[in-house]
Amino acid sequence: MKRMLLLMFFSVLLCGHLMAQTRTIAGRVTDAKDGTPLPGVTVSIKGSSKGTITNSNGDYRLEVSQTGGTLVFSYIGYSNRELPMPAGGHLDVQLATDDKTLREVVVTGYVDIKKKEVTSSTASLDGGKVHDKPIQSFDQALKGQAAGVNVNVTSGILGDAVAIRIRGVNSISNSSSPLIVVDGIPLVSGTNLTTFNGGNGTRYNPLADINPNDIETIDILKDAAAAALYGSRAANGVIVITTRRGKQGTITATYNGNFTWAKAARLPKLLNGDDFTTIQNEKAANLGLGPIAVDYDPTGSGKPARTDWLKQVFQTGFTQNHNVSVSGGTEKAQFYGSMDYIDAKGIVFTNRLRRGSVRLNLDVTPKTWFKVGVNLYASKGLNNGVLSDGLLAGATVAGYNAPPNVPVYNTTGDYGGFYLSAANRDLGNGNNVNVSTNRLNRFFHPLATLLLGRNDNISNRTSGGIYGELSPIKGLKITSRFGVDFIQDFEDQYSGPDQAGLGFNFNGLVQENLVRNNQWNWSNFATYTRTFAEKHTVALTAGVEYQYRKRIDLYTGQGNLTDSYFQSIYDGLSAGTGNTFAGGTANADAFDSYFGRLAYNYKGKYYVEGALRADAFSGFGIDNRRGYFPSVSAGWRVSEEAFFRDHVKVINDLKIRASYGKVGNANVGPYPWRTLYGGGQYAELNGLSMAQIGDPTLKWETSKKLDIGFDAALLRSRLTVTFDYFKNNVDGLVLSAPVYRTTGIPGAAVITNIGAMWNQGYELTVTATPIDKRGLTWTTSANFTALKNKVTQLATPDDLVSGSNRASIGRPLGVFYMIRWAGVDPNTGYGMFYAKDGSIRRYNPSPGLATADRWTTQDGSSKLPGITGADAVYLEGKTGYPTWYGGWTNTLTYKGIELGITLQFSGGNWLLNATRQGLMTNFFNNNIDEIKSRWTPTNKNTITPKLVLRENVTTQTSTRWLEKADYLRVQEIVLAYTFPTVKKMLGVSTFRVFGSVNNAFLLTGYSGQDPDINTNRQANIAFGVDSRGVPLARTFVLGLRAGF
Amino acid sequence: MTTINKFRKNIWILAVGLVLGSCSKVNEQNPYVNVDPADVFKTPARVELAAIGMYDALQNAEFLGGRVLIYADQRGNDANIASFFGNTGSFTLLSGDAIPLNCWTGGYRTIFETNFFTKKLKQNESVVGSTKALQYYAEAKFIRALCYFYLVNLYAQPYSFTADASHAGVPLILDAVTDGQGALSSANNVKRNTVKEVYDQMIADLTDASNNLPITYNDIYQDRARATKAAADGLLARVYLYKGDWANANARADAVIASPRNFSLSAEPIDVFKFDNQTSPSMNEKIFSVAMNTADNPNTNNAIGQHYSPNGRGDISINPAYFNIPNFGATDKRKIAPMIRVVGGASWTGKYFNNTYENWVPILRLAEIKLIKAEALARMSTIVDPVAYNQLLDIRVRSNASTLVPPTTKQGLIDLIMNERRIELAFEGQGLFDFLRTGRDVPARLPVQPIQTWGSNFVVFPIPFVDWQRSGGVLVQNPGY
Repeated sequence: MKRMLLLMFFSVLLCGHLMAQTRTIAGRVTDAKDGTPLPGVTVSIKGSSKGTITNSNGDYRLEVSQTGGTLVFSYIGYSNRELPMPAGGHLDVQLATDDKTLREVVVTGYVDIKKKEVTSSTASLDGGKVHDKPIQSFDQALKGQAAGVNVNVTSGILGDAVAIRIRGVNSISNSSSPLIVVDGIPLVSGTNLTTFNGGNGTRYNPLADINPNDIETIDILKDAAAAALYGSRAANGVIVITTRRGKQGTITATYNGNFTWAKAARLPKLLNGDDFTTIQNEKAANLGLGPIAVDYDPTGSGKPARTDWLKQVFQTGFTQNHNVSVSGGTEKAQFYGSMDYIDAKGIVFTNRLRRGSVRLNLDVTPKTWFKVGVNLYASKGLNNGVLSDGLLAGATVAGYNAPPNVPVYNTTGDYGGFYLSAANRDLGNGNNVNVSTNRLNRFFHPLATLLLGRNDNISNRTSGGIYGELSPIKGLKITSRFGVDFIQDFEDQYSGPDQAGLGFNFNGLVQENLVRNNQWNWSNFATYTRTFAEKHTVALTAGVEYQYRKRIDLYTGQGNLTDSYFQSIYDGLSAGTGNTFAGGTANADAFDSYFGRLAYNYKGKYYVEGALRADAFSGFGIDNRRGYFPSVSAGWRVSEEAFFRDHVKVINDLKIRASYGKVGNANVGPYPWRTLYGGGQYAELNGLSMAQIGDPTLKWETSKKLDIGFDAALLRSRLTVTFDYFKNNVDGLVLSAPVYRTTGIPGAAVITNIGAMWNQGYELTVTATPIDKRGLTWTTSANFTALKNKVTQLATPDDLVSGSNRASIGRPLGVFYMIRWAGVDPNTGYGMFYAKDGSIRRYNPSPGLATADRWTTQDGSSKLPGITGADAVYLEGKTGYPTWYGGWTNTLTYKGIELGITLQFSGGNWLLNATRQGLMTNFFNNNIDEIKSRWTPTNKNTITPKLVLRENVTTQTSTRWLEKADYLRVQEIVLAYTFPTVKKMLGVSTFRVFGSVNNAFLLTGYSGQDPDINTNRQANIAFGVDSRGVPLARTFVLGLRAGF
Repeated sequence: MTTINKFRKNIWILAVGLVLGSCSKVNEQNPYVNVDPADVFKTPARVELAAIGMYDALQNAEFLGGRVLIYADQRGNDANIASFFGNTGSFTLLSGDAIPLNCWTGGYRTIFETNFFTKKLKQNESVVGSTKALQYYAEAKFIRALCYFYLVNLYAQPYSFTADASHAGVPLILDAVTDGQGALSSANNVKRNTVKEVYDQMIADLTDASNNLPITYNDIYQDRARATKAAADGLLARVYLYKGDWANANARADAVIASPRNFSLSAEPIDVFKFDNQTSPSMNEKIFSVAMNTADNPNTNNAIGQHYSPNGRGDISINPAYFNIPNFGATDKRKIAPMIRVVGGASWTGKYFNNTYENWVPILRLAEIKLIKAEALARMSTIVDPVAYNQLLDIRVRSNASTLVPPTTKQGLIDLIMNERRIELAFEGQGLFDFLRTGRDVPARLPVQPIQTWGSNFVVFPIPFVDWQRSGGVLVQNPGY
């Protein structure tokens, strides 16, 4: 796009100098595939700056003054064609689409670098990768698309956060999510902005505000040289998004839409009512108690109540998504506008997300030396969230736990008809005995939670930017860009008076939280590019950037509502004291930055580049605010060397490159270095109490990144290979370093810079077109990443502990540390563990035994001390992070028919299957089918011990629940057809229909719902826990795209 | 071309202006919802706020927000074992369990607040003057002693476990770190003080608190929610009782009874627990509680009422053994509604039945003081002490309890008093301690919990694994863990 504009600019400049002795060449440029005229194609004379552009019919006229020259036809998305000037005045040209030429530049936010000149490690994705997908945010579609980029879609809840890790996890306490920049403006960080229920209610991922269909390109900057211009925020890599802009030529309008049906791909197999009764009563009998699960027949039908709670909680989701865009322009002004609407009903009953957005991108070139542009974007979303994992009342937790021998509905019609207890509106107990003593946790009615309350959030996003570009002299461009990003998120939660918990206790409770997050960013920079003596090309960039962000939260709540008819806070419709709540918080931070880049190349053969950024961030101690982030890189285009070109015919392009540099991570929150008092209200009295103990010497965490790689194109670019080795040394790791609990400081931890670790590995991307014959094309692209991590220094020699995972010196981050399960003693059915020394200790769960008598050798002959936390060991090499992952995309096209298959794989990591652990409980609770394999006198060789009610030693966290999480997923199968003739009949220029299946098939040994589920979404240490997350969906999509 | 030149010049001026005219807001950022300690200890009003902040810390959700009382009763014999509290009730805790860790952390978090406040106030004493400062120090000491009372009784064997109480207690932390580097210092790796040292510190703190705390704040709310002279004397009486120093226990109980505040038993046993009565002058039994309102504990998992009330989470119901305590007759008001509620086939205490989120956490009330006095006198006396017996009868008459057969021996009276403490003070956080301090076994709650013999390993909490492991042997683990 930008190249084309520049060309335009020159053609206008030069028209005054045209000589009179000319002739005219005219013709029409059409699509090689279907003959449609192509407007906006650049037609230029090679070696001159002269050219023109085709009109709306694809026609061009070009006055030339010479004979024997070459005409170049170029159009974005199509292969360039170079043709000798015809002797006559007419030349019709057909252009063929070409994915390879699509991306000629890498966008870094400040400078666009020609791909062949890039000396750093980047991955560029075409926006098409995220169009027409059953996703709520573009990041979900990045799965398996680029080497080094691991995307973890954490649950099947709509709008849920996605964990993106570029080249592994590069921090321990800070965020490990990359910086995301849209049209040059950094986005607000954070993957879930909701606050109620610890974010396990309604979800708001601010990335979901970006309409994926607006995305033209996604550039992923992986190494220091690529990301250096983002300095302090680049430690986790940078994702640069460029939205679509208008093209000169005719106006085109496009509609694309799709309909998606979604079902939970795999659900846990829970016990039915009969099995449930058998199992629970066996647990009780083994503790010497009578039956505890007793049938209940409220209607007197003679048939006891039986409920499959999963059928109540899960549904077939249905989504429709419509997108309309128009774009076009004249030589002086171009525009792109779009609107989209998505209405997604999730796989969990009542979960629904609606969002609409509009965008306008405008570029105006009023003077040849001046260009100005505006981006405007607004979106609104309404998310009807559901409580999920982490909450007993959550749909999955409540639905999995609930006894299947009680009914869904009562016979009296009370409490909205749901079968609830009179005392506290928990799920009723039927005829089950002593439930409150024998259960592990209270039972919530899964449907009452979903239907009697509300967990919504309404998000409004307005972002806009304006830029001006001045080109006062040749080669110099001065840009000023100002952008604002405003997010308002209104969380709106209602708990009905018959909803157990807050709703019942407050006789109906409304809670509202309003978040207003304002960010502005102003960058001013100049670039100067010049070639001297036709050999030495120099590109210089220097600039300055300011950023400021402020967030305000305002909270209010009201209980004791007049009637369940009124479900918001209204004047006079509530009473009493002690049930009105108000609160809020605010924070702000600021950056200022200076940056520069100098690139030099000699004859397009040798490339050297250096960059430096100096950032100051308000969140650091006064003496440590500014950090300096330099990088260097170099490239050698071997294929330009004569010796290579003459002797190695099979490789038509080869570039070797290396880079080294330092980047930072400032994601520490606004005021971490300070020791502060905060709100310390004591019931009715105002107070101030300690909020945090800070380390005034806190500074950036820095990553020193090394990258060595090559890009090669073989067989006339039919095969391209990119390889990178990388090593990233992170030091001054910002750690929330735990202190002795007896110091008593708030949070029992101090944020400080102690710690170091490294990530190293390699990435390989191979793209090929094995078949391109008689209309049949097969293009394939595979990427693979393998990486290792090791923690080399921590605040103290002690591990940082988070759940069952640790950061431990000399081991990979997040290494599992737990006691080891030794199986079931076949003679007794008792569970066994390994002590630290590897010896087996057996646990006797028989009733009435003193604690000291329960642990023995396997044969029971001698008493032993119990297994404790001190018997836990490192499970060397086992972490929640994949050590290898990748994707494989295939596209077959034949005469308008297109078949695409995308595979995605990941492995080397382990998951703590806490879902399974929770559902194998010995308390009164529903269980999974696996429990039927329990030890009985007639079933002695088993992995499941004898069931004894309330016995929780064998079910404690141990290797019994740790599982390998390797998988291969058929991520997408898409079949599309582009109508070659219908479009003429309908007056449309393109008409494509497609159907796809996403998450079509999963091959894994993991016994849970999906090895991708991760309920510790943004954790760095305790990554790799599946605790009753909502399973991922399998989706079926039908869609169409029509261009006018 | 001249216009272009002029334009060029302007551009450079503009560009230079943009670079130099900084818009940076980096050095202007101050927190909105926090304030620097240096700014707090500048005015008397802010010091007062920071003093109240110590009570905010006392509300710690894992400690005296109610949990620590629950742990003592989960390990007594009056409540059923609640699965919510994991291995606590069954005496099968592991050192790595969350409950002993969070409880320990919560207790020391509160202690830190008092030490930090004291340290800062000492540096800025002139802001409030030395007289007012003495009151603040006394409040800090009261709160600190209250925390140590629960810590030492949960994590260590009772005072009488060794002859001179020389067995391991808990670390005494009497100073505060003030910044991150201080918090990370290895000087914080401390050993456990002996139980005697912890008791001595509590006695010294409370004696000092009694001398310097006001009798009244002239505000009924603060008189009950904030440390007063009577509260210090009352807690001191309890500490002496646990220590077995009967004379001092009796003397401090007398000090409370003789307080100008004129404490009196409320008309009905439920009165002292009613949320609406917390500031009612007609109910004057309450000496000190950790005050709460819905803004303090708006969530479901930590409020004491949530755990005890079937209106809330309903985790803890009453063990049938409670109703079989001798001399606990059917007409006893403590055995019937509203003190006992029957819901869903189980019995629940009425003390926290309503207002599940905002119930105050009861610490000291006159009934306990009278029972302390009764027990101290009974144990000091060689005969059946009549004054002690009368204190006991006061408690029973209020509840319409059955008529007692007068005891004929000193031990008979002590037994009656110990039973009365169970009946009267159930679910107020002393269930386990009363067995241990008097050398008795903890009765079984079969089938899950067998009898726990006095002095056995598992009657005390483990020292949390993380601190123990990190200390490299400095912090000694309790035997058996």
